[in-house]
Amino acid sequence: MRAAEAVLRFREGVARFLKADSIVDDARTLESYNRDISFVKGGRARLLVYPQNREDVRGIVRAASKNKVPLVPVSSGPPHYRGDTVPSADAVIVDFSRMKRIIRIDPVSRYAVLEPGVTYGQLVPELRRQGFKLVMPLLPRANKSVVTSRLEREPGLIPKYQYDYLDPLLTLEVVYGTGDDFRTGSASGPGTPETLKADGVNPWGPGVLDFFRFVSGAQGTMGLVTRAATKVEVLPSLEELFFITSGDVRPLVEAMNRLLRKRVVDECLALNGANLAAILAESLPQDFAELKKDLPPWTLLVGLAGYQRRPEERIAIMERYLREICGELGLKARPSLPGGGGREKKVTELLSGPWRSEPYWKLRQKDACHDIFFLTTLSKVPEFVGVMRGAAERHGYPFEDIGGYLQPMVQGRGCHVEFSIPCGKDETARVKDFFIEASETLINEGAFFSRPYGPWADMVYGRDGEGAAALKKLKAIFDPDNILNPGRLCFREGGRG
Amino acid sequence: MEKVMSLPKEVYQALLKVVGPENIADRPHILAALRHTNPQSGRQPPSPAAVIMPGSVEEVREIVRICNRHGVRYNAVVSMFGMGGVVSQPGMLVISLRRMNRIIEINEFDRYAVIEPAVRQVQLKAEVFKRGLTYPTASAGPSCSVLANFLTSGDHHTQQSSSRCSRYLLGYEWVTPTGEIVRVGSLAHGAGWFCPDGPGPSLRGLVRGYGGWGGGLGIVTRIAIGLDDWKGPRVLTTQGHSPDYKIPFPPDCHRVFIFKFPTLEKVRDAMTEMGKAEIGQAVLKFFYATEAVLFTVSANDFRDLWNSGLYQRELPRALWVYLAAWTPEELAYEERVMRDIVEEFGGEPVDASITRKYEENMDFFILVSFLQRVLKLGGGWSPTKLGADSIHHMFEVAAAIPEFFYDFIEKGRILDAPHNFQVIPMEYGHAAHIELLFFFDNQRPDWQQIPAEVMQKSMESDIRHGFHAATPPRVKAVMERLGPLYSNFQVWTNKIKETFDPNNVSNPGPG
Ligand SMILES: Cc1cc2nc3c(=O)[nH]c(=O)nc-3n(C[C@H](O)[C@H](O)[C@H](O)COP(=O)(O)OP(=O)(O)OC[C@H]3O[C@@H](n4cnc5c(N)ncnc54)[C@H](O)[C@@H]3O)c2cc1C
Repeated sequence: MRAAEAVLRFREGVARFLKADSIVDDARTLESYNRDISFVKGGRARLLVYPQNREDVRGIVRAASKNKVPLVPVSSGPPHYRGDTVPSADAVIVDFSRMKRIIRIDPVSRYAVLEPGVTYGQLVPELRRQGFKLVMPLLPRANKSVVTSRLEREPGLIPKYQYDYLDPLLTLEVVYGTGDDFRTGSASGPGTPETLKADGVNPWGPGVLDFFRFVSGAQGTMGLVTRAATKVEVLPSLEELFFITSGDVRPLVEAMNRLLRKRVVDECLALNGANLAAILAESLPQDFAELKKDLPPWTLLVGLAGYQRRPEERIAIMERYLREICGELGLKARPSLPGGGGREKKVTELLSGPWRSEPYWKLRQKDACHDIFFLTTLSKVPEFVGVMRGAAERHGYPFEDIGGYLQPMVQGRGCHVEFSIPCGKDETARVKDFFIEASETLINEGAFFSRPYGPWADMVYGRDGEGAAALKKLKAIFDPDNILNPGRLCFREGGRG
Repeated sequence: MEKVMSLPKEVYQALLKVVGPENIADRPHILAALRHTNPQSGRQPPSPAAVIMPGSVEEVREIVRICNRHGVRYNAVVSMFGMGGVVSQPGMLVISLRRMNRIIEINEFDRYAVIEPAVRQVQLKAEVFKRGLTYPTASAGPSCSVLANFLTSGDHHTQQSSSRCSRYLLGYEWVTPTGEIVRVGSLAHGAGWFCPDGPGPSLRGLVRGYGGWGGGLGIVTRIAIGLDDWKGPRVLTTQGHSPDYKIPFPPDCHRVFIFKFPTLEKVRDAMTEMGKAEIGQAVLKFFYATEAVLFTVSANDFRDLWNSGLYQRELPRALWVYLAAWTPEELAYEERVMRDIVEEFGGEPVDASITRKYEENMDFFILVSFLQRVLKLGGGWSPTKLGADSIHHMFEVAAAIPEFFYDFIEKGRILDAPHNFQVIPMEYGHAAHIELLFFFDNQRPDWQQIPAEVMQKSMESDIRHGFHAATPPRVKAVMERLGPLYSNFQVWTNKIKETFDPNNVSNPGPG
């Protein structure tokens, strides 16, 4: 069956249960899904469907399976950066933005159940109103889906709340490529979601498998998630932010390690001057250039918090530990940001929610921005910063213009390292060469690209034949017809590997 | 004597070639030691055909490949403290991993340890303590394998401030049931042992879920586990000699409190609030009868204590709190928060003699060195429930225990200890684990049915109420019957087993 014909049959199938305005074939709208800011190029969006509930999703998957039509799930609003929502072949886009119900916020057991279309912009204020906070990634765009961000294991700003790399994701309701739906962990049963009394906060199992892990980091290739539970935390009644600056990342890494292992701090992240300036600049390009000049090369931002009971006492003790640790390392923790021109309050505000203005902060300098990110241990961070600097020098790209972000994860046992390379229209080819070569060098040096988007997939899976073979076996179980976002990760020609 | 199935001669010879004659045996007296009954089930376990002791991952791989070629079923074990029996069917090969007992690395800065299967709790714990580190240690006793525990269960007394062991599994090296060596996560990418998830979808999900495969999906030959900083002394000082010894901790930074509350709801709410305030190294509602067993050194002692009624009076609705801090000031702050909460929910200290037992035996919170005492009554015991969800849900489950439990008590089939359940919060109260333990007299003619019947009634109660307090065990018939109630998880579990173990040789289960 030819692609166009298959899509036509698919369309007839879904028209039986989707409302007319949930099926879109307008060329301009479809065109907007064909590319994003990344280097990924692909096939074409042939049709766009908007499911409203799990039954719709099941119907869509079954129709796709019957007609062998690839589905590309999208939950966040544009712009997209990583190429994971660009169809690799002619495909139907499944846009979850109309499934945006906050199903439950449970103040006692501290979790929220969300549909995939719920965004950070929508959830954060709602939680705050009820006295809770969400562990945020660094300034996501307001229209970013909370569920997919957690599914993709994006790092959060508060490492102490993270006990493994999937935390704070709890349980999922998922529709596999077979059209079967499934609930993970303690949401699995017994019985139906209507009769089950459990809160669904035990993410493990059911039984001897951690089903939620198979769907994580999968870029939609293993199943379509129709609802998910995530942890939420108590909103501190008192918070203080401190800035620790240094010309070199080494002492800051040491400070992060000591602060996290003693669980002194809540928020804990380091940004270089380029990133902090992009976040804080009032106007561009003047204010940005001045800030970038004045800010120190690296700033460690740490938050101390007191919760509902005796908050001042808690903060006083943690502040003492903070000062002791900084003292041991010859560092200073200040409530003011040197070179920041009195913008400390703005930093505090920004860290507690998504980025709300236009353009997105990573696009404030140039039209595009290409991120290189990976995981490593804190001890190896300085070495990788050096590797990136070397790559920038080789390609004649000023290292100071590259955004740098260090986010300890899992209580500091790991660290997300992210370099953001701003890219103007006229320098795409040059930046692409730099991006590819730097990524390859980092991988060769032992950087762990745990979320291999776009060109990274081949680099990563090419080195791990046994792992890729095991993943292909899983894919053949959960998506035997290879209809879920085909062409991504190691799932190139056919789901059966 | 039971008739023992033996391995075909050529298979035995092929295996012998891999490990040498000193590391394989099929003599009856050796096999007899591998089929002892355990006091929980009463079932006479099947006898294995032989036992083999590989010394390296390569040897494990060769053994697994030979087993595949000849359809020989096998199970990997270490100290055999697991409750599923050594082999699930007669004629299997026991792969004893005892020779693989090295601590490969303890990384103090990045806080992880890499270990082989036969590294015991008592071995690793002492090494990491010396370095000011610790890890979540199940109350499974000092002799059990850290790796086996991380793969199979892993709930423990101090998970309020940490989590279940499964969260701390950072990477593994795995001989698949078909004999490939797979390294998972960052390890496969020359990036070190710190992240088990990715690239892309996480293969970490294969090796265990809420529970473990019990050897049913290949053999794990190394794992990395996460370490936490340890607030206690680097070397533990013991007073006296086993079985009558004490391990106190410096009281300026370590204190234990036990409070009784008017209702179980108040225990629940105090526990929830302590989670929200992020205090307590350990916070738990513990088993009261098990505690009486643990803290007495003989069956007669236990009887005296239990019959005195002290525990029944003081502990059915109690909350155990262990505060540990870096400084006395921090301890004082946590104590003030704790007391605010206890007062708010009407708690009062229990009899000081009970609390003193803990202060004198702080190993309760680190290794439970005296766990074997649970077996000393000479009778039978068994756990049921063994599940997790929110603190609130776990207490909802607990409140329904009398519905099925009293019937067994009234008929004299189990010890009269209806409150012998524990609820242990984890991750500062984001979830909690429940376990119900019962004791029975294994001199009764019907004793072998007791554990199975209690477990069945417990499961029926869960299903009736919509409680998630356990998932059906990996017993084929039970999974097929109950799986549809749990999102049909048996369908996917079976597919994974068939895909990764097409010859069904890796501990296939009792059928
Ligand atoms: C009295 C008592 C109390 C207990 N309390 C607790 C508790 O509080 N918390 C808790 O978590 N657990 C508890 N347990 C269970 C205990 O933790 C586990 O049984 C123990 O960890 C097993 O260790 P082991 O060395 O005896 O392993 P074994 O019994 O030798 O093995 C256990 C299982 O793991 C599998 N296995 C072993 N090694 C490997 C390997 N390398 N690769 C793949 N599979 C393997 C085996 O097939 C077997 O099924 C308790 C057990 C007892 C008897």
